[in-house]
Amino acid sequence: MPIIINLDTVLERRGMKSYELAEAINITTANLSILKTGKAKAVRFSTLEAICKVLECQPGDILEYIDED
Amino acid sequence: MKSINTPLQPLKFFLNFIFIIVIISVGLNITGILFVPFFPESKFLAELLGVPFFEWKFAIVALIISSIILHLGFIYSLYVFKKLVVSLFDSPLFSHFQILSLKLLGQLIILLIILKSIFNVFSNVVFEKSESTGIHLFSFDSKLMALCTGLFFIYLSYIFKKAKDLRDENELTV
Repeated sequence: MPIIINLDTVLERRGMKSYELAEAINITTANLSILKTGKAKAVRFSTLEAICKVLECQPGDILEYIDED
Repeated sequence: MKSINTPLQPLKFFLNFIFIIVIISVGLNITGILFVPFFPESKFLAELLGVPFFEWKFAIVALIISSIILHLGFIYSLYVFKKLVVSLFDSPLFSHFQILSLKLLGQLIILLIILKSIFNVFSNVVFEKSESTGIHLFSFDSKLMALCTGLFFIYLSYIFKKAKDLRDENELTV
């Protein structure tokens, strides 16, 4: 998929662990792992909003489009 | 996604009962057909194949073998159907097994109808019967209706596959 999730980078920048983020945005660590590994087919706006709020960032910091052609 | 709930348990029992009855009746039918060559004069046994008497041995053997294949095919289709219904009750819906079973059932129905039509034509030619072999378009027992049922099952398997894809997609929405 040409959409890349840069959650790991943002988490590292904030010095936050995955499980802490999962707790803060109220999703399971399994679901967060699906998101981080790029297996997710879709992201709810509410999840994205919660991530941006906790990590104090913009959606563009987490999602990146890479042209595969 | 959860399976259909158990208040429909009597239907499962009914299906098992029907399956056993069909196996017994088809078994008796096959036994009867196997005995036909030994009693060519017997009116009762001859009527099992729908022919009055036998002259051409090769044709009779071919008819008997194809008749047995058709009967076994029918039992197998019923078995697949039974397994499918049990799976709809007991397993989660839109499983890989259900998709494959629906497709297989549709293909089996179509294949059996085609084989049955060939069998009928062959049997009419061999025994010079004057019965019409035409397709009755507007009857529930017509071959066309059975063909449509087969196609419906294949279409249903396609719908199940789509539903499975949607479910998987939904589960992967974070």
